[in-house]
Amino acid sequence: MAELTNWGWTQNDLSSLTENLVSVLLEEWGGPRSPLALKYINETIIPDLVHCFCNNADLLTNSTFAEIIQWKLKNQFANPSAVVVDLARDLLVPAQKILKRPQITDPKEPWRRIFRLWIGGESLPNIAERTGYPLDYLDLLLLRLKKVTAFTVNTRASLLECQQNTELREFGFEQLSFLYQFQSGVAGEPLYKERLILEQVIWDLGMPLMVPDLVTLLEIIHTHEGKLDEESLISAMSEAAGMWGSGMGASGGDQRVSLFSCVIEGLISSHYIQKNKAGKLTLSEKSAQTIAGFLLPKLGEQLKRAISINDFELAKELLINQNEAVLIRLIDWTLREISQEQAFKVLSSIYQKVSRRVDIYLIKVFAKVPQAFELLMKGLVDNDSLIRARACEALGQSENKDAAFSLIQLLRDPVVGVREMAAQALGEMGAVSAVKELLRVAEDYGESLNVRERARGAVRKIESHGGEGFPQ
Amino acid sequence: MMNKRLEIDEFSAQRREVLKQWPSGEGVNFEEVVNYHKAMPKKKIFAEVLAKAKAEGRTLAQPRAGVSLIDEHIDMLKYLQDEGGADLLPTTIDSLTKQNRYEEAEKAIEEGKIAGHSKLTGFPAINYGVMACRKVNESVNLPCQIRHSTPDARLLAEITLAGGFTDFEGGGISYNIPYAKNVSLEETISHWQYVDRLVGLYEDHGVRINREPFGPLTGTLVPPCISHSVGIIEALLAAEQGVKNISLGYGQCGNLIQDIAAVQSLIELGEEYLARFNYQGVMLTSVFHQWMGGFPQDESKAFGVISWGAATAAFAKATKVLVKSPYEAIGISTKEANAAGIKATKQILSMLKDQSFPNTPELLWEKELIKLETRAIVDKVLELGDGDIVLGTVKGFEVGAIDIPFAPSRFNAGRMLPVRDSQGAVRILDHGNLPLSKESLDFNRERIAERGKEEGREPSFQMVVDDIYAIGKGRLTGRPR
Repeated sequence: MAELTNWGWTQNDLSSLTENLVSVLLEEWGGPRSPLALKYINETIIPDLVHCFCNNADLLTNSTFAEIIQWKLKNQFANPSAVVVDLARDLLVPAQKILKRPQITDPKEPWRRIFRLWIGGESLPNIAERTGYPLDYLDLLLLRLKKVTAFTVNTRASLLECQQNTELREFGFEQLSFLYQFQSGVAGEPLYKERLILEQVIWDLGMPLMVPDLVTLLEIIHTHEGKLDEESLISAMSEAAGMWGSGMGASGGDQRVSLFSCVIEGLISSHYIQKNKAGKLTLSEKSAQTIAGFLLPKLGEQLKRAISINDFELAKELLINQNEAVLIRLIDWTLREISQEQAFKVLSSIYQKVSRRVDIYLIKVFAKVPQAFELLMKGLVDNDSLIRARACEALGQSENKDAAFSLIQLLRDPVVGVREMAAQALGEMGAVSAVKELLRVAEDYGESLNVRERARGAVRKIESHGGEGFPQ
Repeated sequence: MMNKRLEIDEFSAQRREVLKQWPSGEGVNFEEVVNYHKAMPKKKIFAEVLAKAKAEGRTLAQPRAGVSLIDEHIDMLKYLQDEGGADLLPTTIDSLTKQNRYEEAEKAIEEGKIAGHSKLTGFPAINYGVMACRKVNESVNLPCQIRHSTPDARLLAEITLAGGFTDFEGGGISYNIPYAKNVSLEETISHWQYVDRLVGLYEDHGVRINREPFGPLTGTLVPPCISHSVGIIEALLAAEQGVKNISLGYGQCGNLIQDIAAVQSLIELGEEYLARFNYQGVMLTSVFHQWMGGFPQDESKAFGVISWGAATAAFAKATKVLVKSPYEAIGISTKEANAAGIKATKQILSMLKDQSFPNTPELLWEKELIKLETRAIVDKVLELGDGDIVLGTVKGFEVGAIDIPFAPSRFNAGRMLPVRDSQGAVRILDHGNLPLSKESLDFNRERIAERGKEEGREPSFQMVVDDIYAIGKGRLTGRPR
């Protein structure tokens, strides 16, 4: 468990750091001294370094952080590469004199922070802004990750084998082993990515939480989605505190309530949870997506149990009550883990019962479910053009030519997107009977270019299928 | 301290101390070394190969490379020779040896042996000693040069030259001011007078050793007049100690006309100053360093930069081009990557060898400008030293009459600030105390103002920073997007 610490530097600390950096850059070391350069040093380089040191106040004695400072000096502040090792070391000395945080010397820690942000979808410029690390360094790390991934994907190589590769070896053992573990985790470890995202949320909150604590909290919100306000959530969390082991829930009394309150505030301000119009708490899209993987085993088990006793009404209720982002993951789980027939039975029961987004998703996944043919056919005449378009797409993928006639009809649908998908679907299912109509569309100068292009593509596809009766 | 050939007694006394710095120094026996060198075939003597290339108007390609385990190092050199097609070979020295930290280098060698691969980037020649250096040289068929960046390279020169290397890079200014923050010029010039005297002694005994001042300096927008001034001063210092083969270097700036003018004017100016001080029989050759600044991370783009450097070297008729690797920005220096850089370079050199760049008015003007500016600096340095180049250099750096941009040394004024003009040529934005003529300053000012106008911004340090990183981002000039 992380400890609550006074992370901040005082104004005095910052002033003294600034003065000392000036002294290193302008007295101890040579370098550009023209008035323009001095202005840049004072107004850009020193504030940037102070910001970077502050943001990484627990890494000031970390060897990778020193390397990152070297990169900053070389790739951001125009220092020749021959000097950056010594200059970075000298610049870190004044910062190391005002250590106020326990220092993390593990060389992998800065990379862990970078990749935690990256896996959570932050852009590289944003990561650079948040960490103070130079963009080139971030670029390089990603490039190296790609190299490690490319090497291991093709060869299924072990870390030792990577270490024997002359190119990868140049990354240094620590970095290579970090990149290796990271890509192995992403590729094969369940919920690895989600855990990193939640670690980052905790990091941003600056609270003494652990990932399971946050998972429990979000699970409570999910279970009672739209039903709890802040106060009732705090009391629910207090009840759950006992099972949180040494985590946040283990703190006692008023202090615990105040911590819960801070965590909830933090999660709301970072848009991780939100309040609905009635002031009740719900998961945001991103938190629901992250938490879904953690919820699936439990929800899946409940769903299986309901299906096993043929209580499809209970199964339907269970599905309908989920947050949409969670439900979508649960739909995938159902199709994967339950027999196709039962899966279709339960999933079709929620069609048009939750939301358009869920319906569209169901249509997409029903493409490979033969039992869904009728449902998809109904989709073709839905009032919602997006449903019609997705139904066309799914029927195309199902390759069931019984849909060809209806799809040909839809080549005259008033909505362009539907006509596009109908043409594409006819091509995919190799519907020879549609060729004449597709050629008409392809040659219709009044038709949208996209539709004509799809129609041409469909004709080519049907032709390549070599279907009997293709007009010569 | 002055620019005067070291008396043999003085040199010998110093030599006894130098050879004691590390046990391998005992392995140096001057007479034996002379005989060893004399028995070497011409094709393995740097100066011979350079002289032939100069006479034929060919440009030779040389990579940079060095690792700490001797067998791995030999393997790398052979690969660069056989697979890469290098014309000349390097042996780059490790960072601990550069700082005279031989004990730590010894430890790193042992660690490398245990790990089964090099733990140092560079070859710790002093720890290995004379016989190991000879093993390296005897394993390849091309001449080998020692490249380092050591302010005090006296022992390194003793051991590596005794070990059969026939070229030694560096100088009292070029291996001090761009590298060290607090080493005085008096100290390094004195150390390098020793190195040059050693080379001069070999020369007296019929052994040709080439010397190469490090041309690119900080590799950060160094205007030609600055690197030329340093090169010429170091050539004069070397010639005084009896050196007869000198390669003057220049780091690519990126504008074709300026770079060609720079390489051509460098040799002309070098010959002019050597003649002015009556140093006879000195062979000058030119070295062109492919772009020394930041490279693009993308391999194909990096090949673009390498090829542009190769084309410029070919058009400039440089005697030698120092080749970069396509993985420069990614920090991978495998033999395969180095060989790829050589191959790309040699393809261009071969395609351009029969083509010459016309003497356009722009080229002639650029050459004249570089000469005007270089003479102004070197003459001022001489004036400050009352005709003595050593004293003048020390005083010149003190007052900023000679000033290397972005150098970390406290002994460099750092007042001069370069920037690119609208065509990418490196110009002088703030001349600090450089003794340039009004004509030259006006020209620089005009060209920079022209760029500022085009970009709608006042020239600033940000503009300079943008220029420094522009090539890495796919451009030559750091214009705002």
